[in-house]
Amino acid sequence: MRKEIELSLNEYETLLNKAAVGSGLPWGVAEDAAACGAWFMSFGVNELDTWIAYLNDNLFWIDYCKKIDQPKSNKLNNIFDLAASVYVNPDTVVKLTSYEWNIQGLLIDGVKQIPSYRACLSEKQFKILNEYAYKTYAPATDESRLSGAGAGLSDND
Amino acid sequence: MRLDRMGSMHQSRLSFLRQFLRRASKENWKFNRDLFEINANGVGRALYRLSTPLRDYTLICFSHDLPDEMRSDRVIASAWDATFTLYDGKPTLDDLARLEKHVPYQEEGRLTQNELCLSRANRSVRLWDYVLDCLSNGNQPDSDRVRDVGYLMRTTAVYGSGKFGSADRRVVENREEANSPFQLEMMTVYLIRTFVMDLIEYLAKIKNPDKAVKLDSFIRRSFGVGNSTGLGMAPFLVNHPRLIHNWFEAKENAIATVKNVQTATRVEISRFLDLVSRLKPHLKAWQSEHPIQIEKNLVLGRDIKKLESKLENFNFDSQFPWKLLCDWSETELSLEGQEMLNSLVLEPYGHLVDSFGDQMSCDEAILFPIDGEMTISNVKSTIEKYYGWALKIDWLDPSCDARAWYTSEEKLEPRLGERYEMPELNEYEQALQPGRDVARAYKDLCELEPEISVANFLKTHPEHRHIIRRCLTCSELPFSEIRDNTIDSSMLPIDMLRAKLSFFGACHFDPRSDRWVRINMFKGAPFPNELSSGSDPENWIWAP
Repeated sequence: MRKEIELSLNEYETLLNKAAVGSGLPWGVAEDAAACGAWFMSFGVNELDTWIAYLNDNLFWIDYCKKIDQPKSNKLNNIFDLAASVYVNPDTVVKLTSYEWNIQGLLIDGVKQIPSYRACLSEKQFKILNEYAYKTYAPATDESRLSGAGAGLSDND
Repeated sequence: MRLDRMGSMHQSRLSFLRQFLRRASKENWKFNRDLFEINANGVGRALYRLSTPLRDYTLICFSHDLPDEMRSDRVIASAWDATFTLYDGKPTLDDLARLEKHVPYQEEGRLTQNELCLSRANRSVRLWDYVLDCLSNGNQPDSDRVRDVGYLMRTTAVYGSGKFGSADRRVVENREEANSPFQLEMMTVYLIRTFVMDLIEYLAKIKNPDKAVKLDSFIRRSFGVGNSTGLGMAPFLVNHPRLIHNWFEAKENAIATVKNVQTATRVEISRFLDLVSRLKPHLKAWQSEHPIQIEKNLVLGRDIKKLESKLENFNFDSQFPWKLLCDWSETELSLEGQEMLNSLVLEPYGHLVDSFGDQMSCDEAILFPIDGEMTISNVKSTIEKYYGWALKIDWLDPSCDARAWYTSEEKLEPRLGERYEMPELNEYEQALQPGRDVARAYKDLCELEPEISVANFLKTHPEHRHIIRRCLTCSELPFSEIRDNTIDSSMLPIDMLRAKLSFFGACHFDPRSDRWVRINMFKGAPFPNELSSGSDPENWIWAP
């Protein structure tokens, strides 16, 4: 059986955000990329591998953000475009092959998806996301350890 | 919002632990200790349950025998005297067995949607053994010594809102008792306080079964729960502008409401004067070795004298008496004194101000949308109007961008570094300097034609996306932004920590450095059994 990691949805979104920054996306673009990934997960859209693959494509996410900022000129080509549309205007009704967004929420092949606040991902996916996220953490040094947190030599009392 | 005022704030009726106690009392929550299995070495587990009218919450406590040399309050610690999780309901024995494999390891463990908070606490080296010896020998601890420390254990983290696999905030936010900010975290700390008092009395009894006594109920009440807090709280204030706006706006609205009271009743005046009489003993118990806080407390002592003297001749029959007093404080008292008065005047007016507490939460799940059709001319005007303070700073002066906020790979501890001494930090800097970032974006905006759309600007300058979104968000919310430079060489992170902790309801702020502070929570508050037998949930504040 494939091992899975379970996270809360906001913990997952934070991880996606860090991974996106770690992959080289600017802070603000990473926020939208993470929101997109969390949106997929909450509705059971299994696109995490695609999302991860796009981490190496800054232009994809910059274009994605432009679609969010100008939803009226957004032509739906894929599920990411649909996410970009409904993210800004949840009242809209949009259809794309097997996906439909309407007042009920997201329907996949006509089946209404129940939003969840949990995220399940494979160990491999979790490992990849953490490897990207890790790039945002400063290396441990004695200088940093001693001065950075302000606790000094003794934080006991 | 300016840092020096934020660093002078005090707890008030709207503070989250006050809201928690008020609801627990009003709804007559029931309290039960369902389990207490601790051995002579203090190792074991215990369950403390609060029952609201609709559901149960259980604090699961794991008590450990920690070698002294392993005791550390920092995030990088790996073991603690006690570890906790708040469980949603009543845990089964299987739940306990599962959680025993995770909770003692804190950040290294994993929780499920059944768990709501994760926390740990360390014993006070200054007080634990002393109080244990006193009780086991049949004596009460010296009340002055208890007062000077104020707690037997201090928490070193209280995690909630989905951290480490626990329930997402959205799972509980529609429950009335969890809707206001940090209510479940307050519940966790409150139950930890009860566990700690039970634990020390139990261990005293084990140590000397014939002579040991329980704590005198008055001294018992004078113990709060300590908390030792580093930099993690500071980024929170910058990262949650919409939420922070609601906190400050609620308090400002409450103060404005009281200032607008035309005439004060005898009961209201008497309540206020009673609290003023508690200030000197409260200040006496406010111990700190940090030069900044020592100086602030000296000034606050003078402010209290000035206030007492003012009140001797103050005509409470005047129209709008609270406005008169607050206006007077703005020219006569320090920021500490002004903020103390701002909190005090709310106390007699629960019927007018407590409902503002219902407006302090915020749905932050959806990112603030950017209107891409807006011209950059509009964005520039917004920046000039709301971020003029940031445009006036000389960002080429090394003292103005002296610091960098970053996260260490060591257990992801949040840290602040000197940028010019550790230039490698630039690569890891986090987006916690809105002032500098807005100035950078403004400079690039000025080089383009004013009718260009924001969407096109952000396509060519994606590095400014976070700050443009922030400007547009904060321009609608006057209390959302700290109007100060968060990376200046003279910036004191403890000012940010103090503001957040005052909203929690903390007191006795004791900075250990410019970025580390110890505080006390629930000091003087009734214990759960006292609360459920009718103790006043409000009238314990400003305790010594």
